[in-house]
Amino acid sequence: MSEELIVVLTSGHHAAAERVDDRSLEELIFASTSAAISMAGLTPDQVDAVVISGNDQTDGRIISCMVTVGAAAGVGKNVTTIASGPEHAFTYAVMRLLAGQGRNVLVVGWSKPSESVEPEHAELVSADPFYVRPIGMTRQIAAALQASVHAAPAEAGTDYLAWPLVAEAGGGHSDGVCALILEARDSADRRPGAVVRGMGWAMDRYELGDRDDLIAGGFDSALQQATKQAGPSFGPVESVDAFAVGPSNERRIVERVVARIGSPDTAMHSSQDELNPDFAAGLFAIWRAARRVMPDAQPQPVARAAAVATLGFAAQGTTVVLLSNATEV
Amino acid sequence: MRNVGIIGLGQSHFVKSRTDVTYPELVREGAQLALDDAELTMADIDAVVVPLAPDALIGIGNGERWLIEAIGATDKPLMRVNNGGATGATAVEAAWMHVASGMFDVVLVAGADRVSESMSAQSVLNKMWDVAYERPYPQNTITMLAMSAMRYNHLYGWDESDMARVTVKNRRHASLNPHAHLRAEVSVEDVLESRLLSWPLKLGDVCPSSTGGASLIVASQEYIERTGRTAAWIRGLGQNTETFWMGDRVGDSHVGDHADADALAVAFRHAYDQAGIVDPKTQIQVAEIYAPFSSVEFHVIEAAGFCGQGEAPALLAEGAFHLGSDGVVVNPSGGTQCTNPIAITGTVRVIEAATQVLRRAGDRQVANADVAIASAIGGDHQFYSTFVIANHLDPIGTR
Repeated sequence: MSEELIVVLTSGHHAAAERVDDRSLEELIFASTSAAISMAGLTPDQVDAVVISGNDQTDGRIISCMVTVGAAAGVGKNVTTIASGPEHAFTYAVMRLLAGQGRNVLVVGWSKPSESVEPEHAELVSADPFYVRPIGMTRQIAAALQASVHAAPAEAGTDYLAWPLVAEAGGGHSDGVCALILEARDSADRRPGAVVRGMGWAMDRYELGDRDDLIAGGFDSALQQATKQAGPSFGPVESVDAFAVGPSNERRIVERVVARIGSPDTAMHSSQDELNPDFAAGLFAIWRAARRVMPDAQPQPVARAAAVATLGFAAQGTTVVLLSNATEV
Repeated sequence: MRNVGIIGLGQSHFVKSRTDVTYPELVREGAQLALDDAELTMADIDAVVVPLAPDALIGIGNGERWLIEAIGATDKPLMRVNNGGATGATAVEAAWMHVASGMFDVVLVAGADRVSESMSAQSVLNKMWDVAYERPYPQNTITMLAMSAMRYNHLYGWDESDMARVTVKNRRHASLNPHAHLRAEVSVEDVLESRLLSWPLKLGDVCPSSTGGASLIVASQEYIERTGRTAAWIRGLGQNTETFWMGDRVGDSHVGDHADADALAVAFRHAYDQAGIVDPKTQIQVAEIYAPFSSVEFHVIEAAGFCGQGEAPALLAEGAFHLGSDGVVVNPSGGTQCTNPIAITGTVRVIEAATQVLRRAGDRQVANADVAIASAIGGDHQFYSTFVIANHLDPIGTR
C-alpha cells in the first residue's frame, strides 16, 4: 500500500431485523447512509464517492442500483455498484482512496428479502442452469453440504433445517443495511478510527465437487494478500470477526485465521447470534472488527483485529480485512 | 498516482445469438483474445474485474461466480461491477482503480453478454423501473428514449430525418468493422420507412440485441516499461450519476432536462480535467460514445463538448463526425447502435478507442488518431462513465 496514505474506517451504521414491514428498502438505505454520513461529521454533499452492493434478484429490480442510488446519497457523484458482494465493495472503496480518487467514500450494502415473494427463488436462479439449479440449490443447502463434510451422523428427532444444520443455526433471511465511511489520511494522522492495514479476496471454483477446500474458497490467497500488504510489522491479531453461513462453517474459518495470524489469546467473535442479511453481512463483520480497535471499544480496545467473510454457495469466495488502531501504523 | 495503460484487447465477432457456447465459455473467448493479444497467460494476471448487468439477460444471478474455472481465475482476486448499461466502462474504471491504487500491476477485465438469450430483452428491462410509478406505463428502454428524443426534437427543432442520418453514418462505419453486429449499409429512406417502435423511434434508429465476449488488460506504467510494451494510456476518467426519477427531469422544477445529458457533461469534464484537455474540438480525434439509439448520439456529442446544445444535427448533416471528415470522428466502429452486448458495450467502447490510438483499426482507422474518448450510459441516462485515452503520456496538444 501507499507509504504516505492510509485508509481509515471512521464511522458506520448498521441495522437489521428479521422482517421490516413499515419501511421500504430505499427508506432503510436512506436511514443508514444518513446516519453514517452524519456520524462521520460530513454532509451528503461532502461525500466524494459511493460504492454500493446488493442483489438485483432479491431486490426485485433488474438494475436495482437505479432506484436505490438516490437513497444511498449517490446522485451527482461517482457511484460504482460492486455486485459480487459487499466485502468486495469495501475493498474497492479502499482502492479508490489509495488511487487518490477523493478523500472519502461511502460504502453501502443491503438486503431486504421480506419484500420478495420467495427469496429462496432468487438464490436458486443464482445456480447454474445445467447442474446445480436442478437439484434445488440455495445458500442454506450449500452451507449444509459444506458442514456435512465434517459432521457426525444425523441424530433422530433433531429438527434439521438441512442436515447437519439445525433450524436454529441461523443463515435464514433477514432485512438489513450497513453503511460505512472510509477516509484517506496522511499516515501521521492519529485521529481515532480503524486503519485498514491489509486486505485480500479470492474465489474458488464454482462447482462444489471441483473444490479443493470446502471450508473457505480462496482463503489462502486472500489471507496471503492481506498479510503481505500489512507487512511483517503487523503483529498477531487480537480478535477475529467472521461471517459465514452456518455456525460450524464459520467456526472452522475463524480457527484458521487464528492459527495463521492470531495467538492463543485471540478472541473469536461469532456472527451466529446476530442477524446476517445477505449483501450486508460481510460489511457487518468488517464494522464489528473495526469497532474493536477504536478507542471507545468495550470492554477495551485491541490493537489489531481481523474480519473474514465468505460469499457464494458453500463459501466459494473469502475476503480478509486486517485493521489496527491509528497508533499501530 | 500511477499511470495505467491498456496492453491487451479482445472482442468477439458479435452476432444475435450463439448456441455453441455457454456464458462462461463466451467470457473465456473474449479473455483469451485479450491474453493472446498481450502475449500473456492467466498466470500473469493479478486480478480480474467482471462487467455483468443485468444478469437476468443471461438467465443466472451472480454469473461471475460461474465463470471462475472457465477463465482460470481460481484463487485470484475477482469482483463484479453492475452499473446498468455503463457496466462495461465502469469495469474498466474499476480495473484502473486496482492498478492506480498500487495494489496490482496487471488486471483483466473479462465479460460477455447474450442479450437474445432472455427471449424478450424489453420484458426484462421493464423490470428496472420503480414498481409503483413507472413500471406500469409500461416503461422500457425504447419508450424512455422515445420520450427523450421527442423532448430533444421539440427543444431544438430537429426531426426524424436528422436522427436517420446518425444511423446512415454508423452503419457505414460498421460495414468497415469486422466485429460489428449490424454491418449492412442503409439510407435515410430505409430508416424512415422502417417499422415504428415508439414514436419517433423506428427499427432503423435502435440497436440490436448482441451476443459476444470482450476483454481488455490494463497494467501499470512500471510493468509496461519493464516488459517493453506498447500501451494505450488511460489519461483521464470520470463518472457521474443522475437522478432516477424521470419526473425530476421535466417540468418547472426539473434538476436536469431529459433532452440533454448534463450529468454526462460533468463526467466528461472530470476526465478532461485529469487528462489536461481544455478544447475537445481540437484535442480529440476519435469519440467512441455510447449511443444505443440514433437520437442519443446528438446529446452525447454535445455533452462531450464537440458543439453546443442542439447543434449536433446540423453539423452531422453538413458531413461532420464521419470517417474522413475534418474534426472528431464519432463512432468509427459503428458504435452501440450497431452492436450492443449490454454488459460489455462500455468495454467495447474503450477497446475501440484504444484500437484507434494504437492505429490498429484497419479500414475504420481515423487518420492521426492520438487521443480518443470513450463513454457509456447506464439506466435511463443515469450512470455515466467517461475516458480519455491516448497513445502517449506527453501533455495533450492540439491538432
